Amino acid sequence: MLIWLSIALLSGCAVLGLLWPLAKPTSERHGRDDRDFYLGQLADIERDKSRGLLDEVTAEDAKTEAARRLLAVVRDDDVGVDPARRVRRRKLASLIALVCVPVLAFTLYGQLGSPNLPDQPISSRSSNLGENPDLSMMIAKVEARLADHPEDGMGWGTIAPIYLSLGRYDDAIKAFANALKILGESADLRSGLGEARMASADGIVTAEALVDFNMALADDPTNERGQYYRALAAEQDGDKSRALVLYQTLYASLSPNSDAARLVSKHLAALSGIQGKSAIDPNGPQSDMIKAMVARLDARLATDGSDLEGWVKLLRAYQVLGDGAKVKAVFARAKAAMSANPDGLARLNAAAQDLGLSNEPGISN
Amino acid sequence: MIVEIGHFALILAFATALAQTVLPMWGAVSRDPSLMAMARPSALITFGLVLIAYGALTMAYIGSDFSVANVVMNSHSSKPLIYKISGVWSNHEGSMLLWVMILVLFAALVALRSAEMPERLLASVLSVEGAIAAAFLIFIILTSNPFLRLTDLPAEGQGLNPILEDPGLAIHPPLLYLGYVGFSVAFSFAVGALIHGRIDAVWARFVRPWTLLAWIFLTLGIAMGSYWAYYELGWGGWWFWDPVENASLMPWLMGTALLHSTVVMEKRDALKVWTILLSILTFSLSLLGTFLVRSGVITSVHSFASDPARGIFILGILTFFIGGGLVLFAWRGPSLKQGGLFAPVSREGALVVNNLFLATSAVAVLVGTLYPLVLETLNGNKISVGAPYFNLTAVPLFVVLLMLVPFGQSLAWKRGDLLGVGQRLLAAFGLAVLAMIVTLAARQGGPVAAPLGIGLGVWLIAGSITDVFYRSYRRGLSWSSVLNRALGMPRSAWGTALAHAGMGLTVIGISATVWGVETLAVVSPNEALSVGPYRVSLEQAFKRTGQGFREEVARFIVMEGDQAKGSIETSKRIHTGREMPTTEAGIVTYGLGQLYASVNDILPDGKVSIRFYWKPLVTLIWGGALVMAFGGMLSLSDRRARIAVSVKARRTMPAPSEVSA
Repeated sequence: MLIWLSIALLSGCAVLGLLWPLAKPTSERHGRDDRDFYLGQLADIERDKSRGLLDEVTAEDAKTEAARRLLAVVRDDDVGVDPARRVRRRKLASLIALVCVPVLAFTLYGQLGSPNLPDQPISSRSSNLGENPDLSMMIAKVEARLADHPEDGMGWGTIAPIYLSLGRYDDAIKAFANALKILGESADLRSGLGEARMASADGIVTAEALVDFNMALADDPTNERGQYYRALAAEQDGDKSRALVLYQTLYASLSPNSDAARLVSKHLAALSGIQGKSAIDPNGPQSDMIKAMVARLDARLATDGSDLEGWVKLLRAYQVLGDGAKVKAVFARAKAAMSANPDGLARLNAAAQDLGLSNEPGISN
Repeated sequence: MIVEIGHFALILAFATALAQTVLPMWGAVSRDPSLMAMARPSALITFGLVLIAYGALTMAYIGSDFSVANVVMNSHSSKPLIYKISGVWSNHEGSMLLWVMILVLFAALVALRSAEMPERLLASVLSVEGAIAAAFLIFIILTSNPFLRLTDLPAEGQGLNPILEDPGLAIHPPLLYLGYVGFSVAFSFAVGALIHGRIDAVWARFVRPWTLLAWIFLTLGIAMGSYWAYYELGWGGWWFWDPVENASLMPWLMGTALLHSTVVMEKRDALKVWTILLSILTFSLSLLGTFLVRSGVITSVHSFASDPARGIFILGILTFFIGGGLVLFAWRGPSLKQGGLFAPVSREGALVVNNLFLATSAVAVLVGTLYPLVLETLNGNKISVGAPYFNLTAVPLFVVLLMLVPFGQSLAWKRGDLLGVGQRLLAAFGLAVLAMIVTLAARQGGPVAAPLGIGLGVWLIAGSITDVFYRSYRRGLSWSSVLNRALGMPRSAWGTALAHAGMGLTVIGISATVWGVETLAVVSPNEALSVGPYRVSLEQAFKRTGQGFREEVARFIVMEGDQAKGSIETSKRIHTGREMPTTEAGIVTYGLGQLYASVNDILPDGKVSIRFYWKPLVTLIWGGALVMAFGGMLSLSDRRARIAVSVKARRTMPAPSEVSA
């Protein structure tokens, strides 16, 4: 409330100040004009002459020139003014100052301002990290140590998440990268690096950050941060259905009451609100990426057919995409590939049954 | 709440600046005194509002309010207070706000110091100032708003670029902006005059102090920037023909021309149309400088924010004001009454020559600055137009111009006597030649240009002394009364003499750089090196921490002969939170020269890789600029005789009329 009062007061003062000259009684000539300048000049010349600063001839010269200019000015200035138009003009001018100025200011401020946000100088923030001398001291110590021992990978690994939480994203990126270089590949560090990149790109999972998350997941497919941001990347790319699938997979692996689960469920709720029931529109552009992934998996299995998990995944994918013919063909190929492995074949058949496929080739449900 | 009040004040300032643009101009066109009278209060209100906004942002910086995005990006709670305050203009948003604040400050000063100014001129001048302010305010509000807030507060800010964490930063941008923006007043005066179609000595008299003020600040700003680059960047150079430096040099050259042409206009009512054009061009070059630096077209230490949207916005503003000014000039210029003709050999004739040279050299610098940019846009080739181009184009123009300066300075108004001037300057010329011969003899070898440069500098200084001498000396007068007459000279005459002599000092400083000595070596402790007339030996290399940084320092003892003269320290510094190390040069001044040390590397075995320079007379480069600026200030403080007509010959110098600031 106080803020509105203050800015109203400010506008009031400004408008009053603008209107001030209009409120003063009209006189024909406010202030000075060119005439006064030359009149003053003539007086100056006279004074300088009487004080002996100018000789007679020069003074006469000067006076003639000044008088000539004065005449020119007077001729130029004598233009009549119509009083009625003048009143109308002043009314319009007052209106502009009184209405347009505040309206413009309040409209723009309404668009851009955050009137409800209080000031937050650091001294008024009780529970913040910056005020905690232990933490800043610790950071300073670690930084000093790292300056002398830049080969200390653990040190970089320790300080990187702290930088990230302090909002020092560029430092976080460097620290994560150093730690990875020294300690070798690690899903945690790699996904941390991705997160720092994302944070420094204002929360956008850039292609560069996505590479990091994918590397982290290649290292450890259960890495939660990697899974979460990969889903977020899909969401940001507008690929809602893929995001939904990824979030769902992640959600299933999280313990239901954790913070992470709550975060993911928020995304799920938001997405399924838009998405409706049908998981994927087989002809929609968002399925292109899935198709490409499926095609890659397909190609891989064509060369190496021993991966049972892969076959099951591929079956499920074609099923989701609604491509019945492909499902059948893949099932046949899988069985052929597993023919030398009775155990695998049994599990393949069980999986097929789960998917609602008969194990008789050529006959679908 | 303070932050939000600041934000609102900024937006309200935009609205009042629009009112300041529209209403007084309307009054001026329709000759309505009440509407014209709105100019003054609206300029003051706009200034007050921008001041509130600027104050609010500064408060946010001082209090480390990390709910303001701009503070998070550019400050840190552990920074010393001075860098929190100067941090406000260390970034794009804040420095644009400073730019606008100085702009409206000038408008407010014009409003306050205008008691004698014709109302119509004042109304149109402030209206144009209002338009420039409004354009830049909306630019700030829409594309570079420093008041944007964060709801998710980081615990700490990201600090300041360590190069900018320096007292130089606290001084250089405000000075430079005072200079750049000050020329907006001349621009506004020119546009005002074009709109009314009247331009005369009154106009020149009112515009001159503002031009002079802007010129003084720009001179100081450029000198400060040059010195800052010299000691902070660790290269030991003082001028690089960097596009950003050129961006400040161009308005300086044009502004210097303007300064001289307004004198002609005031004294002789001539060169009117040209002066108007110069006013427009000078501010246009200032705007161009802002555009080049702020748009990210140029990559350099100054382009801390490059954003195409901003660049296009500023380009729009630039096109509007430069294009508008020039179109107005083309349309109304021919209708302006031309001033009288004058003899080529006269003070005013000499000033025309001065103007031609200055304007041409500004164009030469402009071409060298923009050509690479244009080429890159056309075919993607990155080329760099470096010192060789400028040494072949702008520098010869400067040299010829400076050779002519003492003549112009000694010529009388209306009809000069070239032969007489030549005779009077004979002593000065002799002195210059003598200086050349002495330097040639003393410094055998080295480029021939250097002694010539020394001669040129001496010529300028001696020319100024000659001018002062002949203004005061009359046959038969006692020396004490000559001295009295000299002291009683108008301050503007002293200002001219000092400014030209200051230029001479700078020229000497620049010429002497060729005798600089550079030594590059890897030294062990106690190992000695000779640098010019001195010997330095490494005392020790050690580590040290200061507020917000750690550094590795190399300390050297300086000896002259067997005598210890002191020590010099240079370091590699790493600022907390930034990985970028900076080199802190060590500089010690002996006489007019400086010993400059810059560490390259401190090796693990205690050896130090170091670069030493001995730069004789180098301080004259900036000292000369200070003298020039001081001359400008003297001239500004002169209560110029209001008689805008020439006094035929300077037979009798008027005694100083009563002195006023």
